Amino acid sequence: MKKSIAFVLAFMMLALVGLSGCSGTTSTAASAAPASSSSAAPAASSAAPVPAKPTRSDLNLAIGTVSTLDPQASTLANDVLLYRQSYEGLVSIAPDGTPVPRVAESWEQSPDGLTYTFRIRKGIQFHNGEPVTAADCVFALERGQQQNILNAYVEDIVSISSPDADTVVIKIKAPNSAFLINISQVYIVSKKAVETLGDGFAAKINDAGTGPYKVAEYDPNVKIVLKKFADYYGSTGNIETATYNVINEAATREVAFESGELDFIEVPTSNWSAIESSGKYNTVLQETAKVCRLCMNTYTDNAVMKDKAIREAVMYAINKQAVIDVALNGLGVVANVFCNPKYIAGSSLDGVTIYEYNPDKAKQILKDAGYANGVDVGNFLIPNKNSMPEVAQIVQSMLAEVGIRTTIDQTDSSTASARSKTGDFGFYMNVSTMINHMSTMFRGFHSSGLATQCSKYNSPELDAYLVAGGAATTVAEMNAQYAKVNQYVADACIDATLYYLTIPFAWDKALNAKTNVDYYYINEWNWN
Amino acid sequence: MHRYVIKRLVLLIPVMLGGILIIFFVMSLAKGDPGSIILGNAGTEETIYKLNLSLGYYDPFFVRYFRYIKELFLNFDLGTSWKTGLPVMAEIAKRAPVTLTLAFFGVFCAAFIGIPLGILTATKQYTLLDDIPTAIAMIFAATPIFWLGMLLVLIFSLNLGWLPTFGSTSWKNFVLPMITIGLVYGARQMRYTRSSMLEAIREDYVRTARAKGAKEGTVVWKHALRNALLPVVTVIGNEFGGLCGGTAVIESLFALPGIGSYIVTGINNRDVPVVTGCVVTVALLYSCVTLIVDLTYAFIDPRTKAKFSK
Repeated sequence: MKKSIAFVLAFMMLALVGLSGCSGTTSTAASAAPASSSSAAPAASSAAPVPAKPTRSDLNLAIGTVSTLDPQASTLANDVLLYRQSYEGLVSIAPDGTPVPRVAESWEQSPDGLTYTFRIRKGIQFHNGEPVTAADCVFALERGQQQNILNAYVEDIVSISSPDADTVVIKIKAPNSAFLINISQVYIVSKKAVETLGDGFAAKINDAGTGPYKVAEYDPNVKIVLKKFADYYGSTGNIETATYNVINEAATREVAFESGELDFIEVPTSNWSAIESSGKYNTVLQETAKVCRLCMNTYTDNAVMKDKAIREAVMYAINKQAVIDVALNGLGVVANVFCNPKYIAGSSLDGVTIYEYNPDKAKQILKDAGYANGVDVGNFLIPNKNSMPEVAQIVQSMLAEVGIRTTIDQTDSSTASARSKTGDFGFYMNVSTMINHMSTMFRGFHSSGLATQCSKYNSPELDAYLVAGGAATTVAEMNAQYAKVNQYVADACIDATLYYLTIPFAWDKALNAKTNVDYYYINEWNWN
Repeated sequence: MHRYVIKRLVLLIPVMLGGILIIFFVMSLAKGDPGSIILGNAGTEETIYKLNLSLGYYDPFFVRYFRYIKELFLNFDLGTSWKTGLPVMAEIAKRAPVTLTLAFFGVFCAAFIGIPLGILTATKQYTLLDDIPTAIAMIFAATPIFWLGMLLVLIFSLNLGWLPTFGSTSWKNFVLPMITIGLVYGARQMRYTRSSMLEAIREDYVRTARAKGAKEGTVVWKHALRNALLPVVTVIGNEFGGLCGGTAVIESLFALPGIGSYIVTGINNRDVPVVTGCVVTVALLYSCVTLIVDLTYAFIDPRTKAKFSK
């Protein structure tokens, strides 16, 4: 009798092996060619183009949980993604770091760099139909000054005034080459709309923005529906309704995309090759300014990496391209400076020392410095996300090859971030997002912010370059000063940068989508 | 009976206080302060310090603990999320129905599958009708719930296109999550029902029932099952209680906005008020479910009822 149950179990196991084999093929077949049954319809409709009339006017997207509709109350990535569609600042920043007119039609900077005069765009309206006045802009900017989260962007503002109904004048404490980039983070909201909604402004649908889409339905845990704003001053595509579905799980997003319920997704790295090679979707590999940084502890009492020779050896010991190929499936670009020169204003590779992979040289440097038998540098702290565990393992073995020994110390990201500020590590590695201006380096490397930094590299010379770059009043001067920052950081071997993350996106064949270094704008998209 | 219920409800208070103490202690061991989390990259040392001070982060442990208890019992306030700034109580109130619906229908589906099969396998012991369901149950009981959910999505949503892959707006969204929970938990319930039934069938009173000439159906349903159900009800209750906080995997897989996914987001963000609030809620739900289970015994088993009334 026991025999029969064993027999049945054995049979079930065989069946399961067969089933999992099948499910493996169905799932790869599904990811490679799902159109056979369910998504045949959209493919067919795109195959028969109707020239004048677009195939669709709605758009289904995925987003993580959204926290607030008050565009001045959050800088979380999900929230900002939504704000970009509905709200605008005086200016916005193009992917290459240059300012683009939005609510302000034009602006002037005084020769001393202390006064900015913005002209409000003629005929621009809020979603409630009221014209945008200088008084609204002053109200919004002053409201922004009250928000903790925007503090870093508005702290140097001395006064905001409106000499007439179309002009806003902002005075700042000292020349700041990042001023326009900072002010682009403060969204302009209608005074009337904010005051009418009062405390409910953050959680209710408002008509306070000027962007190309207005929020029509809002359930932050389920979905957010955007409708095209008919009176938008700029160009808009043929997408009338965009629905952001709240889905936090990447695997769920992918299945929803393949079944046709979503039109555009960020593809999970592991499924990228299947999605790309299926040929069923438009795909792009979007290079970003998210940089993987290997921070080296030089400041605690027992930190051996105070010795520059070890840091230099680290630079030569890491084969960045191999790290990208193995740990990231090739989804990255080698980084030699923190700020990706492609996207970040002021960053360049001019005169920057590039450390090509050279393990023999690394060994030689260590030997000359008296570490012929290798050196222990302590723990290798990493957060358990962003492929960090995989990257760390490879880096660890590359370092071991030249004689630099370290033990991986993996924890959740909040703990890792907190420990990185106390010096409780030998190496600390993480992926950081940089804003599109070299002034982002100030926070990470100027001695005034040592307490919140992981490198805590205190150098008056570097401080001077950072200050000079920030205070530059012309682009040329700013570039010259910031070039010295990149050169100094590389020469002193303060931290290593491994790669800029590349993010894969996929979308429906019939959709003309455009991705950006950080955020996309739906009004630039179209259905064929 | 009333006295018993009131006694149990009063006992909830020390349970909750202890639960909050434990979770408060554990969370206080974790590194990271609210200022750095709220301000993120925009924070300077000074603004972070000021914010932490205004949130009372530097107060001693017990001062924070008693403040929390006070707010909870006097104002029903669980604080505000560090990350989003929204009140935790309102968020939980919005999400609880989703989790409770999921847990209820999941357990219902599990019982619907598990109990009849358990009875069948016990009455047909050592036949194919026993072996096949038992073997299947072993497999489902050992299946990771995430994998099973994903497999069902691939089959029913992607390939067959019958059901949506995500969302929580229509009943259709709950079908796959319910079946996923039903299969895994149903397998466990089947095994409990089977062993419990097997024991009951061998009892003297069942033999007596047969001896007096009762029909086989009456013997199984009236004499054996009613006695065999007690441990099964306990299991169902525990599963329901556990699911109130433990459907995180299912919730994130099917993009259902429930308490489970909220707690996971809270943990990832080191959002102490969210985690504490969720744990308190789940503890409360679990305690209530346990109480309800204990009361159901009275309906199933007259002996227990007699004890209650004393």
